[in-house]
Amino acid sequence: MKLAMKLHDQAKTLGLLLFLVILNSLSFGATMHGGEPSAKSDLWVSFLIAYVFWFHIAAGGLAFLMIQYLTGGAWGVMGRRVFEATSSTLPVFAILLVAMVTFGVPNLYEWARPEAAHDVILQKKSAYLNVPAFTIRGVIYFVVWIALSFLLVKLGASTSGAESEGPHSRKKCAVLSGPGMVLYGLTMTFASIDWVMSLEPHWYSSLYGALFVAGQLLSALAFTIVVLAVLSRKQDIAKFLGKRHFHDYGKLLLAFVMLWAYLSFSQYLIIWSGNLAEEVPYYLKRLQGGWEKLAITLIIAHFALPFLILLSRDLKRQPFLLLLVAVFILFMRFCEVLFLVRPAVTTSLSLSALLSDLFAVAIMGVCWIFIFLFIFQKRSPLPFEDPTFAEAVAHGRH
Amino acid sequence: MTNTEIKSLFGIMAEFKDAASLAEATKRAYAMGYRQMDAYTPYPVEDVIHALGLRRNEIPFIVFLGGCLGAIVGFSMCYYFQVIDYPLVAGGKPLNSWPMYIPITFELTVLFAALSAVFGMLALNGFPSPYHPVFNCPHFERASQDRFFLCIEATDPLFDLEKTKQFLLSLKPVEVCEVAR
Repeated sequence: MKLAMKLHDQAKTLGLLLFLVILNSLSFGATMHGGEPSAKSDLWVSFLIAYVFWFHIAAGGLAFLMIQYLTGGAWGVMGRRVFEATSSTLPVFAILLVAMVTFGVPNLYEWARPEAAHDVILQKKSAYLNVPAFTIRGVIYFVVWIALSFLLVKLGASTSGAESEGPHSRKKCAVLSGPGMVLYGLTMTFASIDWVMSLEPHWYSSLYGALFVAGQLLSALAFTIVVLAVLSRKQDIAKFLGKRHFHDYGKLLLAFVMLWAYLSFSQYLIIWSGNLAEEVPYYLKRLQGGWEKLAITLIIAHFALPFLILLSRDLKRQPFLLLLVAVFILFMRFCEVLFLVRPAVTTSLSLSALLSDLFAVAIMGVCWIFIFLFIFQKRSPLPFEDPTFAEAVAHGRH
Repeated sequence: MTNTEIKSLFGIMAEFKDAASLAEATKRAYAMGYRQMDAYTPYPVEDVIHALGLRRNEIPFIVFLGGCLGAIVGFSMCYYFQVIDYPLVAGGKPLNSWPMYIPITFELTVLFAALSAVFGMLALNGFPSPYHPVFNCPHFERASQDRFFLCIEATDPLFDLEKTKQFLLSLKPVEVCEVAR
């Protein structure tokens, strides 16, 4: 009976998730069906921006899930359920990728269009940049990520509860996380090349994968802070989440803001000083037609402002203020994804394109957050049963 | 007890065998109202730091100022060399090619911030200090080996030679000694 109930529950969840994902794909599909080719491609770009923005939070959650098993620490225990829930939404992105591969690839990527046959450079790159290879790689990425998140969530659940294996199972999680991080780094580098860098297939940057990962971790961290700060306003959770936990998260946020800026600027500096004909067009596109405003905004609001604000110790210890900074950083993450993707197809900053991108992020966001909350609420918001939980709570007290 | 006696006294020092009894003693002294006191331990003991009621210090602010100074020095140094002192066009780029200054600006920011942290810490600790009264206490050198010391200083408004001594003795230390100035 219990098993039947459980199965029924799971079927209901699955059904709901499928429904949401199909709704999501349909709403994009409907708007993208028909219309001029350029308008169609525009909408797919909006889709890609929304996809990358929300994917960052989910995949970054997987990375943090592995990192906290490897490093330990109270912050990791407090954020674990959020990491588990965000990384459990990865199948949603697999389904959305199917939609993209089926309908969107020629609309998005120059290398997938018939004109590519006349392009010498794209011909030479066609062994890597072709639709079947793109699809197969996509399958491999998601098999790796979903398997990792599935195993870690499952093993993580058995560190606690009735059938507790205790620390033994936690060790298994750590053993899995080591190679998991290596796989994550490799697959995410290739995914960044496939999905975003190949929008401009003549251009390349060996720093791109690292930049993508740094941004991804920043997104996931900011989202986790938002969830934890909201949780800390609940009476029954507030007593477990101390100021020092938020202080730790604030410090990590500062570190990732700096890492992102460091990598972004390194890429720019190398290309700018090299000044090579095959490299500079990427930045030339982004420094004219209104995009230069976005570039300056990123320097100020994605780096300088959060950097200076997060230096304050008092602010990092105030969950509400940290929440505001995290929300602001999430908005800047949208701006950076916009900056990476949009100028590849749209030569000048236009309000309509911007609104369409924001709209896409909002639609996908509503669906994704709903799915996230659905998964997140199925378990306790903090891993109360974890053997190290009491210690982690005590850490937050000072 | 005369005034000169108190003036010639730095404080009263109690010696403990372990960190836990020092932390407990410090808590009790703080609860008694003593504020002008310091603890000496072979390694940092977090409980003692909290028990002493230490306020935040000026180090972060000093480091921030040092970092700002480093950034200004780094950038203006590059500007002076490239634009004023020895203008040389390289790679067809403008003389004031600021992106090229950023790595040096960054490095000098870090360098100045780190150095101001070290020297700021030394200055706030009163270093260099060739003489310090605490060493007048016998076996004080064990503070860097295996003993834990709590010193209530004579400058504390509640300080009273007899009462403070009695109080420290009530904490069951290994030894209590009067520290001459």
